[in-house]
Amino acid sequence: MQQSEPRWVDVALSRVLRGGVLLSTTIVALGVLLTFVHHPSYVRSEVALRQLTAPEQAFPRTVRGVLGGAEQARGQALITLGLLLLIATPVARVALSIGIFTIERDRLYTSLTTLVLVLLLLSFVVGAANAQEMPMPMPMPTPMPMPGMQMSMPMNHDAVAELLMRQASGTGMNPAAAPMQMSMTQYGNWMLMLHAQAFISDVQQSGPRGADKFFSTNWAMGMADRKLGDGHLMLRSMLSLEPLTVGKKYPELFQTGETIDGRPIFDAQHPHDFFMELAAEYARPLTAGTIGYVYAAPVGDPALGPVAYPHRASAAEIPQATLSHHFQDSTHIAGSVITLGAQNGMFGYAFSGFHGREPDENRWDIDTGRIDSWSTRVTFDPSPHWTAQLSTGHLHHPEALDPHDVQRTTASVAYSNAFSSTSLIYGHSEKNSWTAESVLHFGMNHLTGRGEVVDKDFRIKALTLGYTRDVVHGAGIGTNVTVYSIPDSAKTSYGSSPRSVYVFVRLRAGA
Amino acid sequence: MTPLLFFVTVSLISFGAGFLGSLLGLGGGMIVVPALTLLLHIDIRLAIGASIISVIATSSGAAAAYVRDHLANIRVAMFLEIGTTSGAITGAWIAGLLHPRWLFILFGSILGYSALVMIRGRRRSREAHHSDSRLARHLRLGGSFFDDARGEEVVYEPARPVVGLFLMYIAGIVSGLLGIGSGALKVPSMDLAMELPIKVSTATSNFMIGVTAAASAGLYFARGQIDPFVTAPVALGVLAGAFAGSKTLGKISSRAVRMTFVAVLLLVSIQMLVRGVRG
Repeated sequence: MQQSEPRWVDVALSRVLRGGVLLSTTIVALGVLLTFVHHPSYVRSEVALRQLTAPEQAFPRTVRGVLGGAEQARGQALITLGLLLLIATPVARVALSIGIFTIERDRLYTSLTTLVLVLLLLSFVVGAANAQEMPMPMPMPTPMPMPGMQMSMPMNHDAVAELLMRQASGTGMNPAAAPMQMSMTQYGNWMLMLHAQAFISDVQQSGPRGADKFFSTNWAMGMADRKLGDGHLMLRSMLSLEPLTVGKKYPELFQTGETIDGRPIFDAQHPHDFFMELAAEYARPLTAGTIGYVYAAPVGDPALGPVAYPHRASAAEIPQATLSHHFQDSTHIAGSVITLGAQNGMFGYAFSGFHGREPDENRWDIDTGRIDSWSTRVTFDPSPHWTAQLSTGHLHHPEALDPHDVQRTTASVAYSNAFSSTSLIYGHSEKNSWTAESVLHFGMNHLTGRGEVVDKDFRIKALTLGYTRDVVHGAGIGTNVTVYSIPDSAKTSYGSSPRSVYVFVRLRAGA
Repeated sequence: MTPLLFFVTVSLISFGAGFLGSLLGLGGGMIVVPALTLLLHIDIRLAIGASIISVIATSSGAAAAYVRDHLANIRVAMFLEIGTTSGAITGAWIAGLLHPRWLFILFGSILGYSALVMIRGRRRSREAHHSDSRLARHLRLGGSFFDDARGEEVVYEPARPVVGLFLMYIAGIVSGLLGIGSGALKVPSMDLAMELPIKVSTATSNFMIGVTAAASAGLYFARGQIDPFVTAPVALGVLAGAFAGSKTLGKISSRAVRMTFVAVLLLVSIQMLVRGVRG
């Protein structure tokens, strides 16, 4: 072994590094504390920040300036002292190494290390000379907000309200141009909003595993929004009567996910919980061009996946669930959700912690639990017509009967204008799924389609085509047909050409 | 925004940057500079100054552990630091001459490059190499470490020390220019040019980063780019985040997660480039 420094050398180097970091960060923290103690106005005043973070402000730039800090700038001087100690830590490490190499009579490395130390000291000398002849160059012109949308104007509170209104499922958003149907009233400082949707359906399915049922899928969402400080506070609750109007399940060929009577569901879709969402969210501008938000919900939708199908603009005229629901957007009803996010021009970032388990069979309760799962989502809205998202999340033990964790990754693009909405979605949760769906609005007539490819035990391809006709405003009747393509091996159980036919009444309140 | 809210926001963002950086093996600077400039519209020169300080804090903290575990090769570090420190001084000096928009463009490019490097993921540990570089032997750069995975002592001898020194000068320039540790450049240089085992490259790179950063920090401090009120929350936040990250999960190995972060970093790098091009 050639590298055989004695143990004490390593210990000494390690101590210097760790001790330097600890000492300097402690001093910095004390300096911060002192700054706020000396300047109580920093807790409230907005003016002070501009001075504190302006490039041309006069904070100490020399060691003498730090040590002789004026009374009112003691806190800042102390911070700078801590920072200087931090810079000095690696320098001390190099100096110590010189000593070690000298003791070991290693002349070659004593000189090499001395050269490094000289270079370091030279940098401070060059810096000091530099500081005298050229102070900080001209301050940058006021920061340029991102191009596009209304962001080139200074942000006002309405941008915050618009962001909150656009959130269709948790903090997930349809394209800004997607038709939004809700009724609003002002009550004191609060803006109240209501939005509800119900399908009353009869489904008939062919083949040995097909089944028929008359049932209703539905949800109602109430929102209250008010200004609070510089931002907006929004309270949102979404309820569904499906535990009553669906019961334990409704038939849907090839659908999987969650349990009934302790057994996994096959060929059926579970109802939504009575409490789909109970959430509070606060959003406010952080700077010109950036909005930050915090979303907290005992039941809600973390930042994972596209807008969930019940709220997705492109799925507006299809009553049944997507076959890829448990590959893409099934976390739209999750427990103990906390989301932190920021919207900066065209770009949005969000991070969530939540309880990863799917809701249990008791559809009337709130399934909160430990925050054991996380997700993160980045969104890109190049224009009001387009939105794209990419998200990934780690779900801790989502299925009660399948004791392992799932990594879910989804990517989607959505387009909306006044006459149509379209989404393309990819979702991966151990296996792959692809969904393409679209709805076209011609006055009172609505044409819709959805194609899916989902890898479950075998690959399922499904195509749904549907038509809805409005009878009176908000209420319409509709029908859709789904055909499936499956491998030959599955035809023994499902028949050679399984089909599913829906006839339904669609009610929409708030339109 | 009040100073208090600013302090809290920057601390939280920096904590997140340090946490993510440690999970991705990127270093907090790569994440904290875009966050400060794009989200909070802090002047990029102040953001870079704050970042370089946080780099010193995290690398010194991490290096302490590596030295103890005998992974960092102190001779290799000392030799290469001649290159990195002179590079850092050059870089910090150039940074003072450039219009800030070029900093955005350079930063965006390096961030994009680092994201693309992440696609390949962690490299396989190479076989122990015995080179016949006379300079390396004269400098006694060889060493050995105990490989847990293989359960044996690995003896190695670096190749091409002069090439390595030159590449370190380049890495030092990038570090000094952009206020990042530039481990993304140092590790491949040692891995590919000098054919050092990846564990040794990583540990030694971490060991050198603090000294490299200190060389440019001096210039930044003198030039007034180390704003105490911006730097304090960044340094404390990144350090705490990196510490938490190293304690909780270790590095992320899932391909899907890595690809997602790659995409996020690419988007951020484009955003930095756009900002730079538009001035």
